[in-house]
Amino acid sequence: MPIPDQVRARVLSIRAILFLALLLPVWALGVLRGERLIGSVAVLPPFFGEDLARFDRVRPRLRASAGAILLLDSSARSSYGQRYFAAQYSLAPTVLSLAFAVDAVAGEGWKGEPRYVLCVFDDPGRHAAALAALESATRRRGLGFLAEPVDGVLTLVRLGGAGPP
Amino acid sequence: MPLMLCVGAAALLYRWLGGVGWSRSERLRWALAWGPAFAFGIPSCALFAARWCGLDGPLPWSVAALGLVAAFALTARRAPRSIAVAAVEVHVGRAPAPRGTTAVRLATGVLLVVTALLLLDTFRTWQRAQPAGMWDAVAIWNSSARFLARAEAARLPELFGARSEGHPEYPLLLGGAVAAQWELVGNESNSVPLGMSLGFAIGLAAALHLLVRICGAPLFAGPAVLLVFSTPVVWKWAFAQVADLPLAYLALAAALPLVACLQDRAAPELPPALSGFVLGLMLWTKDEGALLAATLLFLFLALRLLRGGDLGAVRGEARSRSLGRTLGFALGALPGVAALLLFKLTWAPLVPERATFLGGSGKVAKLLDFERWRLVAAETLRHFDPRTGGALWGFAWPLLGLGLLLWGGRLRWRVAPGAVLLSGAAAVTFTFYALAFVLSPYDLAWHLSSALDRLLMHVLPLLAAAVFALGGDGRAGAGPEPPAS
Repeated sequence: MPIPDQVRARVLSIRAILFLALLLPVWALGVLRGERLIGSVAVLPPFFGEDLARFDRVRPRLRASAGAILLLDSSARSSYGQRYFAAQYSLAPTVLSLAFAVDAVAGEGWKGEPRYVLCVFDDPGRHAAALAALESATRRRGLGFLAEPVDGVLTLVRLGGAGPP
Repeated sequence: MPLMLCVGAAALLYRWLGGVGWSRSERLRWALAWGPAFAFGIPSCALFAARWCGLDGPLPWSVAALGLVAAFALTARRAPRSIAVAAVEVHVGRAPAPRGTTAVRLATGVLLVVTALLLLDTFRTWQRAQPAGMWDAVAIWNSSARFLARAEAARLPELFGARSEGHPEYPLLLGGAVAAQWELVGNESNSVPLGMSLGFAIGLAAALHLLVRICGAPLFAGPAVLLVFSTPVVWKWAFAQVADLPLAYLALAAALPLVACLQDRAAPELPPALSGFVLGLMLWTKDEGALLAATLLFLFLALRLLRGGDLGAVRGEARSRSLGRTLGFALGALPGVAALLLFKLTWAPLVPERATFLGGSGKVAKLLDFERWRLVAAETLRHFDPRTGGALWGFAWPLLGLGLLLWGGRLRWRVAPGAVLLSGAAAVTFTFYALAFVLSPYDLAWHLSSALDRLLMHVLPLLAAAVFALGGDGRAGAGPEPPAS
């Protein structure tokens, strides 16, 4: 026998009660899993590590520069994103381009115009080698080279311009 | 600052929406639902317009923002002052309250308060642990904000064109709004994008609640909010300072007037310029926003034709009113749409990978590659299955599936046009997302793992609104028939 409309209107349907009752455990489980997910966010190190603060320190020097080159360790090519995006975020509106080899910065393609290079190497030995190669390539062409260490990982280098300082 | 803007925008909307047929509570609901869109959309569009014209500093864009506010105030004053939802509320209010209603309301209220408190704690966790936001926030959204805030306007086209990474071609709703607020507060505080995230989350809750009410299921409005905000993926992305939750919010906010119009043919509409503005902002938020907006509009027009056929049949005064509403809607959408077009045509660099989504060779082969479709389907099902996707979705999808099973029979355009619009928009949008994955120029497995959960989050609130709307008393959904003339 069909349920009269008036009766139907007076009581929540079984289906509605079932659905709303099921929402309760779904909500509880979702909240628990959400808490677990956020718990993992809470203990994560910041996504960009110390890089944001590191590049922030260089910003005053680059304020007037439209562009700069980020020279990274070629062994970090597969994970360059963290460094690059942290640098670009900190140094905006200076537009950064990426390089993984000294030749790409001070090789044949470079006409000697002044340029800023951010040398970022975690390995001190490779860092020193890259700086030495940059200096050598620049001075060989009789151009200026000025390196300012920011910390053990980052050195700001100004290449080119008038003669060796 | 972001929450102050939201409160200010909500106060203005509350004032603009006043008129015959509006109850105070409904005005408040609409003001809360649309507040974040206006609070962040107006400064964003105004800042972009000023910068595009080469004007630096906060004064030009503030004047432009005030101009937009004045224009909206004017159009709201001229618009018909009544609204479908008010009528729906009357119908719902007249029906006898079913037994158990009070218990459901009470339980929902308590759980909503608990959820809100937990989410606020989540907000604080993000603030402490990841103040700059998630990876994409730094790489994309807040990075664009810094370019807008730090560079002289004259250099911006060149700077955006020179950027090769970090998606400089993405629309600038978030970037513009963040930059505008940074200029107002005088520093680049992380609290601005984080506060905006909170504003968008509140807006999402308010819009979802209102949508379900408009569809005639007020008892199910709170539970719908509970489901969406207890889904772990929402916790993951809500305060990550990226554009996905804002887009999900704007999809609901833009659907509100369309659903209100479909649910009650007899009632005049909202000020069309306000509705158009919210829809236009979807395009200015993310590239996917254009697809969502087009889908909503297309389905709305199709349902209007099906329900009344009044698009082509209106005559005389009715035709001129209809044209006026369409024009108002289009003018309202102009800030978001024009900002997007100007940005894409003049500032945004052409990104080869993205251009090859549709063009380039091998697209037909990809389209016909069963293995690619299978991979997309398998990955989607992995998200839906609580055993494999539970960490991100809990049991949200199975519950929505159950809802469709229970009430799918009500999914008819005559009975529940609002739910048809919402569920149709979710289905069509996700179909296009799947197509985009199949045609993706990137490694498919990587692309799916990095984007699928966020894209599913765009459609989750739409589908939740539809299912919970169907779960209410379906007979109340269609609103009254138009009076016989």
